[in-house]
Amino acid sequence: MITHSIDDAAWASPWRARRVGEKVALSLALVLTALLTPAWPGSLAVAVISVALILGPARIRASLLLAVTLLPLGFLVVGALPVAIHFGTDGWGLGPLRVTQEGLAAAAGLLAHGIAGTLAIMVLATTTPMVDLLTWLRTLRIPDPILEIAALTYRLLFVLLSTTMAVLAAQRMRLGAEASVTRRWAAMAATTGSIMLRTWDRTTRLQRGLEGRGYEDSLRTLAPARPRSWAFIAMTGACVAAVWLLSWGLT
Amino acid sequence: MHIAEGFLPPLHAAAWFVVATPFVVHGARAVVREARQSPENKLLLAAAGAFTFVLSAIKLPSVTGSSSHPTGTGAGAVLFGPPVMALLGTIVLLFQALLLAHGGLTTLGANVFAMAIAGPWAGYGVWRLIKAVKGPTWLGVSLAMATANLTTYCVTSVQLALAYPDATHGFWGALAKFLGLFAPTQLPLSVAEGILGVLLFGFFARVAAPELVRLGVTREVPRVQAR
Repeated sequence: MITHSIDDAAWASPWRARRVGEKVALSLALVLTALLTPAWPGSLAVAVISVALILGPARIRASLLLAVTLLPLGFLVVGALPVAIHFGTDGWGLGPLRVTQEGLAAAAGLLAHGIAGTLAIMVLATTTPMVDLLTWLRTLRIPDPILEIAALTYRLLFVLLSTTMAVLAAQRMRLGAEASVTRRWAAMAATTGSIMLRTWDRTTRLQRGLEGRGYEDSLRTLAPARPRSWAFIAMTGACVAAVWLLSWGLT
Repeated sequence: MHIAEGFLPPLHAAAWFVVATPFVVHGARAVVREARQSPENKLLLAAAGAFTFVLSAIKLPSVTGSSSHPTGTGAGAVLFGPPVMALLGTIVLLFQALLLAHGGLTTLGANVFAMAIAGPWAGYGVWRLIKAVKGPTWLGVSLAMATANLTTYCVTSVQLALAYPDATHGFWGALAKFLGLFAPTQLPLSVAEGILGVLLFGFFARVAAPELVRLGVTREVPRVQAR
């Protein structure tokens, strides 16, 4: 499952040892650059840099990167279709639905911005476990209860995903997919209800366990010390400056 | 139905952040207040957030052969109220962007407004309306879930139409295009989520109402338990 894949990659990446703030700055700078510069050459350059960073120093497998970007790519293509098509009589097409060169160019530009932005987010997502990110968010003075709910949500969702997958697999083994539509609806409602009950049950047990360890108002954990890397900061500045200079030079 | 990263022009992306922020801050204050009352509330809300995320792994059967997944924000609004869902939805959308590459960071404001604000508020409004006219709980829950889903889809289409008006027919032409493109999946999905609501709360009424009490959601049980 993609959720596990991205998170596993983040835990294993050598960039996990880098400061979270530096990786957030790099990723956000690339995301904004992909959005604000022209699709050609800005977005293309951001996409190339992101892929080079992910496959190079961050040491993420190419097959994983391909797997996690296929789904958003599908959404981007579907979303770009209405931009390519318009109602009218010009261009070519079927009835009032027409495609023109301008429409295709706009849709292609959107696709380029979207792909580059998604890859720029992947720079952060595949190198930074959510736990590190949530710990870092404390420095932004976000209230503790909100961060704790986010952290607990993150921890619970993997347990729940495993439970859901196990329940669905059990249904498949019992040939649940071959049943009538009515039976499948009933089974799906029972599945959803069972998972919801298990969620509350696990939450209650988690609460009791935490109370046994003296939990009252916050769940603070220590973060490993990560030295500031001026080389990494310089690399971020150089990458972003290069894209902007390239965009200004060629447009 | 999320707007993907890079899909909105910079000004639109920024504007939706501005529009969504007060609702999320309001929701955050409500959550902090609930959490300070009791740590158990934090865990319950975290469980609801995780459940909303996991719902996307449950495929709804479809007569067309395709499959879709529910959003769960309508049920969440009925259980916890729309302000809380604004914050929980934001957390879930952030996780989806970073763990599933679904949605995006620059489009987070627009997605939060559609899925975590407009959908839950519309669903909750229908729920209150049905309760006000003494309608049955199952009807209120199912209409709330269907309305939340449908509203999310319509608001997303409006957001895209505002960003990309049709070359000839402007905003309305673009809105017709976006609504038309997503209707084949989203309309059956809204109906499906409503049916899921009926079956789900029927399941609870049949086998699990006492468990809901035992598991510490007694305050919500009278509001959602099917008769």
